[in-house]
Amino acid sequence: MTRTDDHNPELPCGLRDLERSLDALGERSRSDAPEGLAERICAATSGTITALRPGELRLSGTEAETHGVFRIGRHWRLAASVALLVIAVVAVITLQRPAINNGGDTGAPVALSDEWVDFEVSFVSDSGFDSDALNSLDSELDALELSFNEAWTLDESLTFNDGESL
Amino acid sequence: MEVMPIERSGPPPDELSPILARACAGDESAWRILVERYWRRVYALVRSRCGRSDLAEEVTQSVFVTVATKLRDGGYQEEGRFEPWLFLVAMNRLRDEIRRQRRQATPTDPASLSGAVQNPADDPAGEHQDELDALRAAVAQLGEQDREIIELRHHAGLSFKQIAAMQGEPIGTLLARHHRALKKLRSLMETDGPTPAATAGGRPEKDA
Repeated sequence: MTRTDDHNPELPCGLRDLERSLDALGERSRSDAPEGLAERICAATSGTITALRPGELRLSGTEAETHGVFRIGRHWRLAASVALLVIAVVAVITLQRPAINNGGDTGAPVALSDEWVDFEVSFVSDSGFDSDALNSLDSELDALELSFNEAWTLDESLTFNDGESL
Repeated sequence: MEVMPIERSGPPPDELSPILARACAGDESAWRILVERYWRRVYALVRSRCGRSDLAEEVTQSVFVTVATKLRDGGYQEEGRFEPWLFLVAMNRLRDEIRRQRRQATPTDPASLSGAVQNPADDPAGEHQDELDALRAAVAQLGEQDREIIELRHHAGLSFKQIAAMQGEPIGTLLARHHRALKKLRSLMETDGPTPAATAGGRPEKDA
């Protein structure tokens, strides 16, 4: 039996003999183990171990290579995925909220005066008048007024009575 | 009879860690190495505790199923303490099984649960190793703590350092307990004497 420095230094000689007898008893117990038990153990645990083979969902190969036992359990991976999904949904909703609140006012607000300008322009264009036309109309009206005034200027040579002046 | 030497210090961490890592990664050959290395020690410990070979086989197999499951699910963190952890699982599984057996209230000889001595008449080799039988019977009469350290030390082959890690107690406490247990054993053997009739007590082993 291989012994190391792991021994009880306080044991007297009589007890050391007893310790050696106990070692022999332990060796007897181990040798009495049924030979087929190891195979039965491997058969019973094969499915459990092979479930860890590459191809299964696992962490990076580096971690599995160094220790493997630091692999995150399946339940923890599922919880992390759900948490990331929730965070992504919340982020999308939060980013879209200003656009939702603003509705169709995505551009510069339209000034009321601009609408009046549009209305005036459309009114003038729809009525058939433009600025040049209005100016020529004014000239025509002035000419008519002048001719009217001239028509109503009395000729002093004209009288109503014969020879009688007014 | 072939002697099964054990290395109480266990394999060096730099040898065991890569094997463990490969087993955790699904390497069946690495797992087989672990089984081959420890199954006899686990069986010897369980057999000494329960006194029944059939129950010892069942519990030993259950221990390795538990270990494989925990390795798969990440229930074990490699810190160079695989052996203490393995035998802690074995002790827990054994206690669970003994409690289950007692709850079932089957007409079982209570002595069989505390380590009945194998009837020398059942020895297939026909050899009566009176001294070992007497020693086994004396161990069965120890208190729980004294018996546990004797079995972990001499049947499971754990070092005092490993037992201390397993039980969470200082090494000095374990050394004192081991010393006390040996003194009690010597006293019991001097009192009872190495006679098969006295050790077996006429109680046949309860094998299935």
